[in-house]
Amino acid sequence: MKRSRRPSPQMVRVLQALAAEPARWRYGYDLGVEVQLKSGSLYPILVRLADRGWLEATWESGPAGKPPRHLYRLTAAGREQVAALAAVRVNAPPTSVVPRRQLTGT
Amino acid sequence: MIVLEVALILGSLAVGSSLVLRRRSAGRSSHPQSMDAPATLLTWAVGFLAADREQWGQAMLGELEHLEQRPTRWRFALGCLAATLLVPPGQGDARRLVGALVSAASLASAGLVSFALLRYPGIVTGLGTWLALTTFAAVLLGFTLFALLLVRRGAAAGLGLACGVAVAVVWIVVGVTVVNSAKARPVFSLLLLALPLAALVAGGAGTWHGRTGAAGRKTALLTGLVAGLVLFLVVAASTLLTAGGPYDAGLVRDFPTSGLPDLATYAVSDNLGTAMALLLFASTVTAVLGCAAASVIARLRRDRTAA
Repeated sequence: MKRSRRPSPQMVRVLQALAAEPARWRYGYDLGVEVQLKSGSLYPILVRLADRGWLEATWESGPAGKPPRHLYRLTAAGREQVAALAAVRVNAPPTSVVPRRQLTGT
Repeated sequence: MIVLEVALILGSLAVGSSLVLRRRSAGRSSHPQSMDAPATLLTWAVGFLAADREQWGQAMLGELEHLEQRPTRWRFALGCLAATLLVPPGQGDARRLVGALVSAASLASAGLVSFALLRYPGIVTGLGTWLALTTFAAVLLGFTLFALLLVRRGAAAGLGLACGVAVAVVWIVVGVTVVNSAKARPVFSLLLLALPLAALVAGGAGTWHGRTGAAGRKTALLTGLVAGLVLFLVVAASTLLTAGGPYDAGLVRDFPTSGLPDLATYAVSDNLGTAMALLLFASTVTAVLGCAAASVIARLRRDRTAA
């Protein structure tokens, strides 16, 4: 069984963005813009989510002359994980939060 | 003679690098109609992804083709270039283990040289020494990155590691035997034939295991890297343990004109230089011969299948 590390804050942002509309398929670029992550950060996160079974992907045929696009959404396990993360945050003692500098999207 | 050796080593490295860095076949999806610079860069970069990550490369390429603005395309492509390096390797604990071992071997090699410099500070005689050490550090870094890349690109990690260690053992056994016994019994010089033979066997094993010449060549390259590192570690460690000894007559004769403070410093410096040369020479010879064997055996298999 693969060892599963705790999700990073960036991964949590991606999970939350996908969980906002769990049934909707999302494009990678649009997701990156929404969570303000560059492609260099986003795609390794998507790969890790898929490896953990929290993310499913599909292909959408593009218009003539363009390659197909990859789409993503959470699996049932991914939705459970988001719910579990939300429960942990609700139960955690309050801590002082230092706002992190926002990354610009691609 | 030295120029010839350096040319042979550099030429072999160039051939080996081009074999590994060859893009995958045009059978994969490519987008000739929109191959601007960002698309060209990203197409090249996704070639570095492991075989079981290929669909993620296609995902990035597909996404790029739907971006219109040039600055946006550049930012996306450059980000994806970083992503190809950061994407975690696929299945294969062996790959991670071999990657970790090669990294550890490189660090250990650097550590041994650092220890030698601290223990024998007289080794550093001027700018030339620092240039040599910087080059050595660059070679170690290159070896590590190259090995990690090979493992990601489908080299048989476990087989490459095992063959690399085996080739290094052959070099050590043959070297010790020939040095100690060849003068008394010249027939032992024939043992030198085991050196290229070991490399050929490693290349053949890689092709047999991976079933293609490409897989065999990648494994042969990994074998070469591992063999070079193991050889360096063994020679450098034994040098430091014995303070460069035993001191042969040639060493004692040449020491007075070396400019170094004592015989031990001279011997350690000389032996470390030999170890560094072995690192390059053994890895290059093993990789080149291994790749050649991998290609020949793949060709013979194809011909036999066709017949």
